Amino acid sequence: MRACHEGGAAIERALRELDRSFFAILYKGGLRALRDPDAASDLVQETFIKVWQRCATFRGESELLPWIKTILRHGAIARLRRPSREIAMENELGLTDEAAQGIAALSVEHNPTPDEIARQRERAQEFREGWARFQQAHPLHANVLAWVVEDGLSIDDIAQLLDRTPGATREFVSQCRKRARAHLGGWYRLNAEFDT
Amino acid sequence: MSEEDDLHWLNALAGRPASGPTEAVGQEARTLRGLISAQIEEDIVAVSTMDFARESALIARAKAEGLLPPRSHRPWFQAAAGLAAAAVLASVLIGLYRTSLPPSETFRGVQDGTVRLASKNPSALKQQIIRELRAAGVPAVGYERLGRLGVDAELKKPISASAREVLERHHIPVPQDGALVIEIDAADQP
Repeated sequence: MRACHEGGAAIERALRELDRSFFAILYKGGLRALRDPDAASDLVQETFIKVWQRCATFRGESELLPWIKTILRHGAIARLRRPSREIAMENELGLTDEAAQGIAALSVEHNPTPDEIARQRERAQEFREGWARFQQAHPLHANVLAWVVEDGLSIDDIAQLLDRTPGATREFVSQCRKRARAHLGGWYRLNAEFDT
Repeated sequence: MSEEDDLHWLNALAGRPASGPTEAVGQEARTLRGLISAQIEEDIVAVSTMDFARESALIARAKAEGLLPPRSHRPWFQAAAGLAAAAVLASVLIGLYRTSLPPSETFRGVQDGTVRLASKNPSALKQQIIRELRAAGVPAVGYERLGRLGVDAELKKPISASAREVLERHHIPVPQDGALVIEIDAADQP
């Protein structure tokens, strides 16, 4: 960040240092968000450029990596964002039948049995496939959920990231939840079958 | 599915202690959290930490974005003039270096007041001695007599230090009467 004020050759050195220090971790995040190696690489490069364009605004009160990750995520969101309205997907009760069944099953206490191991593998596979479908269909929603898990984003963090009002952000989170349920339906069903 | 439910679900998904109207919501979110977390771990890809081609592409992009000043490009004629000047300077320096080197010559002695030198290139040595003597302020002329090349010069007394230096460089003794006659034979001649 010192190079930010020195300029010139110091910036070139610092950019190389940035690449060596953070490319790998940012690329993984970019690839997860965009699911395209070239786009992910381009996103990281764009992020480094933005870091230097905004380096004067980095006050150093937080860690560098989270600040850079936020810039990367803003870039990812810009690429993922489509001009579409949120569409309600639930029934009049606020849940799809399948999702309601799966969630009900999750709340049931049960003891592990030997048979569970094979079933757990099956469920894990079902989750992976469902999650991949979710990412494919709604990359922005899937990524925000992954970032919530990864970095514990709060509703305010999400609002800032998406540049939305608190109300619109709450609606977005609600849609994330519903869409995830819709695409993870197979996983919910297996849970229900397993627990009955 | 209320807004309160969603916030409860989000907090549990983020790994924060969450309490809500139904435990089922928290349980669902915690299960999802574990699975998503495992999914993130699975997505690990091998990426090299250092990649010069990648860094070069980044630097090029930074330049294109105006973040780094572009390297100054001089017009071709300026570059050519620079090269020519460098070549001239190099040739001058080489010339000076050669001049300062001891000439490839042999002092054969003084015979009847004539200094006898031998060289593989008598003509070049003659010209060199004339040039050096004149540079030292000594009027010198070259001649060719009976196929032999030579130099005639009149050393005025007191003989200057620069003139003595030229004589010493060629191992020529200082003539008593100030008249310097040099004959240069080809080095392969007896």
